Amino acid sequence: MLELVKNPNFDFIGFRKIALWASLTVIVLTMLILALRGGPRYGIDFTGGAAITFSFQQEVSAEEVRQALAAAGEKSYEVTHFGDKRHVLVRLKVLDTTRDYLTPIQQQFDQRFQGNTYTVDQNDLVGPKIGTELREKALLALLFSWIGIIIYISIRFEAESFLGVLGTLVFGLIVLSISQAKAVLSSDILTLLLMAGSLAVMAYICVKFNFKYAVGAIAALIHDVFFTLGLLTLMNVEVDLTIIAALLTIVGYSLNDTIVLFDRVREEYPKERKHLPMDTIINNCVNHVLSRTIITAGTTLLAVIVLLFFGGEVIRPFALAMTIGIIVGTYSSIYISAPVLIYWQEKFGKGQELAGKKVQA
Amino acid sequence: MTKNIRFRLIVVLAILIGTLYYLYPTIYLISLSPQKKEMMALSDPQRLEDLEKRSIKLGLDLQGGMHMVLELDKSKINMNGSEAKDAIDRALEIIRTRVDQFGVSEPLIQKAGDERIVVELAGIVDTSRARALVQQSAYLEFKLVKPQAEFLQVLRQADEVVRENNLYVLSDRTPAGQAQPAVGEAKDKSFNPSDLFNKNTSSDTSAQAPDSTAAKSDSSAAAADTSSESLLPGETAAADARQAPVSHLFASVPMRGAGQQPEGELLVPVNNIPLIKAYLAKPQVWQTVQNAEVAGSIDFTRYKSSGEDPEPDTLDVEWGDDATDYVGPDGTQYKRIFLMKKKPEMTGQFLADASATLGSGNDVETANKPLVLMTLTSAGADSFEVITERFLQRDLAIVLDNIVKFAPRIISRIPDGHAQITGVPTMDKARDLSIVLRAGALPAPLTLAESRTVGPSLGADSIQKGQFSAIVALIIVALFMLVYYRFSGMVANLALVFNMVMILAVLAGFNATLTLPGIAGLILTIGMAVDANVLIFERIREELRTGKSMRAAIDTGYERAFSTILDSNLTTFITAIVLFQFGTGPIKGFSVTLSIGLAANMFTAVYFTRVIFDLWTARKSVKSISI
Repeated sequence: MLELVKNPNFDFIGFRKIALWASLTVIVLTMLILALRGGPRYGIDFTGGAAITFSFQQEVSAEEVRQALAAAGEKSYEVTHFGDKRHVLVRLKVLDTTRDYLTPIQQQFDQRFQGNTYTVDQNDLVGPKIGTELREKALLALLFSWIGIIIYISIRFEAESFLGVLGTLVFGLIVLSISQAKAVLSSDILTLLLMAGSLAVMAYICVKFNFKYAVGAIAALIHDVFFTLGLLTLMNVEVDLTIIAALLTIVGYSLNDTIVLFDRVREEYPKERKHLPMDTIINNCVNHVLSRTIITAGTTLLAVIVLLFFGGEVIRPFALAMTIGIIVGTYSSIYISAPVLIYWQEKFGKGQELAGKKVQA
Repeated sequence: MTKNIRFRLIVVLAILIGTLYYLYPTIYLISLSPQKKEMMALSDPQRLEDLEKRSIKLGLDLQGGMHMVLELDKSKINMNGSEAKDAIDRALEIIRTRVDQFGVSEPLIQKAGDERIVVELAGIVDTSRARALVQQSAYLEFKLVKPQAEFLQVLRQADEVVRENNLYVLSDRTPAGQAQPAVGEAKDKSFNPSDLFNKNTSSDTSAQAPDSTAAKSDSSAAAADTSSESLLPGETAAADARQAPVSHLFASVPMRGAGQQPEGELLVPVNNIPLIKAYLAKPQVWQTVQNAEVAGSIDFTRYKSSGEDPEPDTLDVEWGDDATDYVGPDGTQYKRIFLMKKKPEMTGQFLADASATLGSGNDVETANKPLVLMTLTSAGADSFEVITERFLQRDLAIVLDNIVKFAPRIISRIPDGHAQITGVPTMDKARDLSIVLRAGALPAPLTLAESRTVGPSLGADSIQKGQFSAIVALIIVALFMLVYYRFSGMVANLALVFNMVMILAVLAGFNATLTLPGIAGLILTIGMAVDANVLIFERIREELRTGKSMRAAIDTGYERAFSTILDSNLTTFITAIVLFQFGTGPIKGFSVTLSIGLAANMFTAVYFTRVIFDLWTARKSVKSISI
């Protein structure tokens, strides 16, 4: 039998204070970076505008392309290479979507890059209205995935908190109806307020109904999303729809990891709680699922890294976000969700059974 | 116990067979060379379409194409709710008509909400044409249709041109000097001309009334020839393709109805459309059609009350819009085709209003039948009076952006600008037609809200890279599992491959679309799919460590791991649903692939591997498994 770690017995939970502080520091730093940069670097999906990718036969300098764009009458543009110097991404501010921006640019290119043929690989145009809508939808999507997860986890792990589930459901419906009323949601600030308000209400529901498992899981998810977003901002990666998709997938993956651990906790806690303190039991659980954690994270990471290296330019940002997310998600299931579970139980869970009522599995 | 295993084995085999069945069209299509595919598109488009429908659809980001969101610009027009709804319906009709001209096989055009239209065109990356799609105002015309007999005569001339200049479309591919190219090609399985002609023949015999239009007409020698020739068995029909290359592709008309002159529409079996288009695309053929001098034709000089100078007019071929308007008894679908004057008799600007209604009164012809009422402006009423008087008993085609929507016969002079279009088959059609007529009266207040185009080379590149990544990831993960779990790892790998194949089969079966993020989802599934088996195997190892027997360890391992696996799959599924709800195009594809992957995972990782284990351990000689 080939084994990665024989009878692991690492003191993961013993490091939880350090880890918690480290995570908090990183999150605060991330928020600072985001604030300083005025939010993540949004792609045209969220800002509106045009993005055109050209593939040239021979290398071109960004400067030449800029000159051509200026000559074509563009005022606000951004030129970046990706992959190599033959591929150019041009971003334009396009407020009037009836404007034909491509033809003048192509005329300039034809003139300036004679003998260096090129193709237009991608030409995306997002009107300002759609951009705003997509941004709102993305935020709401994150919010709804969180709500859905709270509901699922509380049904699964904390069946006695029926009222809590009901509360979350009603809350989700309210958010849904507000989001549907487009007039209310016309600005970003309102969307953010809605997000903040939702988090507050969610926190209240969690305290009120003592959703310890849900709190642990949600804390890990929020951690993962902010961490990944911050790192991407630091790396100057554009946030577009595929990044949002990656973030949601990370949420799913991270939760997966957390649930495997929590399932183990729920199974072992009732057996051991008479003779062992809670943190030791949870630490044992982490060790029990350790080889599974390593193997799953390893194989998933392998698959995503392959995508990062061989998947091509289009999918690279997605693969990058996933790579970060899987590492962070694995870390957070051990160092965020489990410590939060312990903390919550110590603070709010006086006299209550940690494992809750066992649900028929 | 063994009975139980047998049952589960049957379930697994049934699913495996189902999987292969749904994947077959995709595999077959991939195995076809581009040339063979092109050949099939000309010879048997129905079959190709059928295969394509049943195989995995590639998203626009993989095959190249254009995704557009068009928005009704309400600020430009003052309208209340119902008017806005009408405006979007008219806009939709215009867009449908225009998209038709792109020649995309399966364009997606749908309303999204009350003010948006989503258009997806595979393979088209021309943004300027996309702009024209929304920015041109609709062009509604009334054009005079040439009588069918004359159309047939023109087709005979076209035949001659093809014969003289050796412009055969299908025989282009065969070596020069071959006497019977069609027969030579018949050996090729992907293209069988006699199949095509047989189909043609049977539809002719059944769909065509015995006293065919053509036979009555004076100048119908050619038509009589074609129809009688196409009644011959398939082998000679192949020779007809040499003799009457163009005209034999047409089917002549079913009669319009009792009491009307049997003169009017030519039909084309949908299978023959690509061939006809290919012939018409030849400059020499097109010129012949356009400038045809038809013996005995009526004077086509423009006839207007203003008495403007007569000018020479060219002819034009226009298609009807609906292939399912005419379906032969054998199920063959026909599309209408018309020869008409290029210059319109009248345009949509003279139209004031149109509405659909049911006929009332005592007239047997119209009572309780769908009608379209058309009101013209006062200027329009004058010209219409002249037109209807001059061209009594002729067909006047209603053409929206070059597509013939309807070709009613002028049965009386209309002096007051109130016209009635009868003979519309259903109330729905009447409604559509009234939308078409009103569409021409108003420019479509649409704007381009979003457009995304992906060039075909980038799409091809993405597929290739995606495929490569998937294979590399699969190999690496499989190798690891094999080394780490040995025999059990092999079982997990089998499950993994089964999982991949199942996802693809479900994609094909449900007509879902594979996008680039979808491929990413597939690769992600490779990573995650092993998770379930890892959970099970680790659990079995634990149980073995406590000294349990192999059988007991396997049973407990599966039992204990199951709820965890279900949990993790369900929660990932929640995020997939959210993604599906808010995502567009490619992202939707990702969430679909991910969801299918999760479901397939539950089957392959839990059910399938268990069956294998049970089969393996059921043998008496096996005392332990390597895990």
